[in-house]
Amino acid sequence: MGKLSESSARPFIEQRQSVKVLMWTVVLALLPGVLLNAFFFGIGIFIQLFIALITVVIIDEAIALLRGQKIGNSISDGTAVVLVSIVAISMPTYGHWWMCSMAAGCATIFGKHIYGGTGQNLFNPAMVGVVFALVCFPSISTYWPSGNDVNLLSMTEGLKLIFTPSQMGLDAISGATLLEYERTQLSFAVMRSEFADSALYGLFAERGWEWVNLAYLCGGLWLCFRRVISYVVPVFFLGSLFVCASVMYSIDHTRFAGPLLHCFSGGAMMCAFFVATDPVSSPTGRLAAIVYAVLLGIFVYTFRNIGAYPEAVAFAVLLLNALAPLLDRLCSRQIYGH
Amino acid sequence: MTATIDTFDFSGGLRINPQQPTTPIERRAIALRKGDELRIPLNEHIGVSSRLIVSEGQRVLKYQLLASPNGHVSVGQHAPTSGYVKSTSIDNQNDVVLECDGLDESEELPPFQPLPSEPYSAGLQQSLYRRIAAAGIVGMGGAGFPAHVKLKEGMATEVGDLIVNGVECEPLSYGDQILIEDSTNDLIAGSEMLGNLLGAQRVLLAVNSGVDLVRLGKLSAGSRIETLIASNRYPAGSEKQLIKIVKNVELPLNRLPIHIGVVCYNVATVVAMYRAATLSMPLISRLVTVNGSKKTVAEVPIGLSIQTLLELIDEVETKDTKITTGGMMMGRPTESVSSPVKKTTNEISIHAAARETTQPARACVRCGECVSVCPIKLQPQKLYELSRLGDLDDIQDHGLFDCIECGCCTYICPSDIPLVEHFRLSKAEVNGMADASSNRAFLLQRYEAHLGRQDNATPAERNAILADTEVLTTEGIDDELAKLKQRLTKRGAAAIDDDKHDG
Repeated sequence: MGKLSESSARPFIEQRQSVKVLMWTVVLALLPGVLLNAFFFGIGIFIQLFIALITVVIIDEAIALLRGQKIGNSISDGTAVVLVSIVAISMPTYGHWWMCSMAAGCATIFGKHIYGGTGQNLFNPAMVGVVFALVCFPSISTYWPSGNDVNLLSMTEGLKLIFTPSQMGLDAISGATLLEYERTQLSFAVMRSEFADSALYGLFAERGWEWVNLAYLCGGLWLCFRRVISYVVPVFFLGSLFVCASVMYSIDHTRFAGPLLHCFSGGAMMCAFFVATDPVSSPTGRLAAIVYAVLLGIFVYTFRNIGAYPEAVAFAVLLLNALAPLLDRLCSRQIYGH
Repeated sequence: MTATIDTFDFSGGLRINPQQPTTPIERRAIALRKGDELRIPLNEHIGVSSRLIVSEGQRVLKYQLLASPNGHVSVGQHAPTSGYVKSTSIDNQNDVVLECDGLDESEELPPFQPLPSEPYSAGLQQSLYRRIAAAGIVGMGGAGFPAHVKLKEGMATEVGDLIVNGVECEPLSYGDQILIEDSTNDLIAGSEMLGNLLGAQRVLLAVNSGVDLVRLGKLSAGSRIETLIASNRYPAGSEKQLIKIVKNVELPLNRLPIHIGVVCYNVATVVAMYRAATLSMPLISRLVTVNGSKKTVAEVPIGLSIQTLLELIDEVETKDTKITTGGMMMGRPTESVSSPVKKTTNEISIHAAARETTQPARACVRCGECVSVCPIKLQPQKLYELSRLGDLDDIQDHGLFDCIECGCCTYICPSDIPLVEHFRLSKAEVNGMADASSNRAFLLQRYEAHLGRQDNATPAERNAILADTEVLTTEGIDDELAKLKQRLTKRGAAAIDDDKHDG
C-alpha cells in the first residue's frame, strides 16, 4: 500500500486469524455434510462440486486477466472454494452439468465480480447463482435424489446422468423432495395424516437428508465454537423458523408441517450456518443481525408455504441481503459520549 | 484506610494485556557521561512553544531554566544535567542541544516545603500552584497537555473526583507500575495534595491488578485515597474509558473531564507535581519502558537520543531491527534514532524488521471484529468504506472524530487493513492541509495508496501512473485545496446551525 503501510499505525504484533484461514475452516466444516451426502446419495455431490470448481476457477482467472490483476489467486484465498461448495450443495445433486455450471458462473460474475470482487458485493454470491438457475429452470427440484429410494450409483452411472442430455434413469433415483411432496399433496386437499406413512419420512425429517442436515448443523456449531462465525444469526434464524412452524403446526397439524421437519429440510441448516452468516452480505451490528435473522426465518417459512417454489431459502436470503445496509443503519448503536 | 470501590465496565477493548510480564523487569537509572548530548525540544507540549532564554556556548547547571513558558498554555524546559549549550537550532527546529560535562552540578533548590494536613490557606494554594506551573510539567501519560492549566481550571471549579491514573496506557508498558512501586510515598502524598488543591470530594487511584495492593493499602492508610482496580482490558488506561469505569458516565465529544467535575492525572504527572510543589524540582527525567531483548524501565533524562538510551541500557540496534516510539498499539515507527526522549515518551520497542513487514491488506469482508472491539462503539468497517470513498461528510456523521486511534480495530482485523491509518488520513483531509507543499505530498500519498488498493498492480504500472501524477501542477493542487476549503466552510456553517438547534 505504498506510503500508507510504511507509516502504518498497525500494532506491531502478529495477527490472529486471517481471512484465508477462516475461509478454509468454513470449507472444513462443510465436509461432514458433503461426505454424508455422498454416503446416502452417491457420487453426484462430488461431480457437482468439481463442475462448480472448474467453472469458478476459469471465470475468476479470466476476470483477473481482464482486470489486469495477478492470476492464480482464485483458489488460495479460500473465498472461491466456499462459494463453489455452497453453490454445488445448493444445486440438485443429479442435475445437468450445465445447471450447476451456470449457477456457479452467475454466482461469480453477477454475485461477486460485477461489484468489484470479494467484500464489495451486496448479495450473497452463491444465492445469486442459485436463484438464477431456479428462475431459469423451475423444474429443478425434480433432480434431487430422494430418500425414498436410496440407490448408490457407480461413478460411471453418476457421470452418465449428469453429462448426457437425456438423463436416462433419473426417475429411478430421484423425485420430489419432502417439502415439494407435502406441498403437492396438500394442494389436492389431502390431509397430512393421510400421507404420513410415506416412505419419504425419516426419523424427524426427510429420510437421508435429515442426517446430512444434522451434519451441517454439527459443522456449523463447530464454526461457532471456533468463533469463525457468531452464534447470533444461526440461533435467531433457526429459532424464528422453529417458532413459526410450531405455531402453525399447533394451530392445524393437518395442513402444516412440524418445526423439526422445517429446520432439517431443504436448505435451512445450510442457510443458518453457511449462507446467512456470510459477513459481507449480512448486517454487522448485533441488533441488526438479530432482526435480520428473525426476519429471514419468517420469510423462509412464509415462502415455503405460500410462495411459488417449495424451497425458498435462496429468495429469502437475497431479499434480506438487500435490507442489510438499511438494518445496519437503523439499528446502529450509540457512539461513546453521544 | 484504602477501600476498593465499585467499578463499571466499558464496551469493546482487547484482552491482550499480560499485566504480569513474562520476564522480570530490569530497572535502570541513566548516568550521563561527559560528551553525551541532550536535545530538548521547545514545542513538544500542547500549546505555545517555550521561549529560549540561554545562548549558545553558555554553561548551564542541572535544574536551570533553558526556556521559559510563553503564556499560560505553555511550559518551560529545564536542563537535566550540567553542561554547555551547544546549539539552539537544529534541523530547522528550535531545539536546545546540551552537551553534558559529566559533573552533574545542580542549581541549589529551595528547602523542602512541608504540607499541612488541614485545609490549605489561599496563600499556600497560590504558592504551590506557582511552583507547579514553573516546573515544566505536562501530562506524562502521553497527551502532553500542560499540567498546571488543568490544575488552575480545577481549582476554579467544583471537582467531584480526582482520578490518579496508574493504569498502563499500553499493554506492554510497565512504567506506571514501577512508579507506583518505587515512588509510593510521593504518589500518595501527591494525590492528597492535589485532592486538597482541587477541593476534590474523592481521590481515586486507579491501578492494574498487577500492583501490590496490600503494600499500597498499608502505605496509604490514614489518607483519603481510594484504590480501584481497573479492567485489564486495553484501553482501560485511556481517559475516556477510565471515566466510564469510575463513574459509568460517557464523556461527550469535545467536552473535557472538568466539565463533568472530574480531573484526571497520570501517576507520573502527580509525582512530578508533588516534587515540584515541595522540592521546587522541575521535570527533567521520566520513566521509559524499553521492550527489546529484555524488558527495561529506565529513568531517562529528557532529551536523550533514543540511540544513546539503547546504548546505555545495552540494547543492540542493528540494520534488521525496527524501533517504535510508543507502545505496540499506538506507537509509530521512530523517524530517526537520533530523535530525543520527550516528556511524553512512555515506551520504546525494538523488534525484528521482519515482524513489521506484515501482509498487504486484503479486502474488507465486513466480518465485524472491529465493531466488537471498538471502545468508542464506532463502526470501523463503515468508516473505512467511507474513508476509501472520500465521503468526508458522511464519515463525520459516523463519528470519525470520536475515534481515539487506540488501534484495537487494526489489531484485530483479519484482512490486515491499517484502519487507524486510514482514519488519520481522513482526519487530515477534513482538517485541510497547512500549505501547498504538504498538500501535494499528501495528495500524492493518497494517490499512491489508492493505486495500492487496486490489489495487484505491478510496480512498473504503479510507477507509470505515478510518473503521470508528476504533471499535476500547483494549480491543480490549489484547485483541490479550494474545493476542500469550500466543503469545509459549508460544513462549518452547517455545524453552527446544528449547535443552534441543540441550544
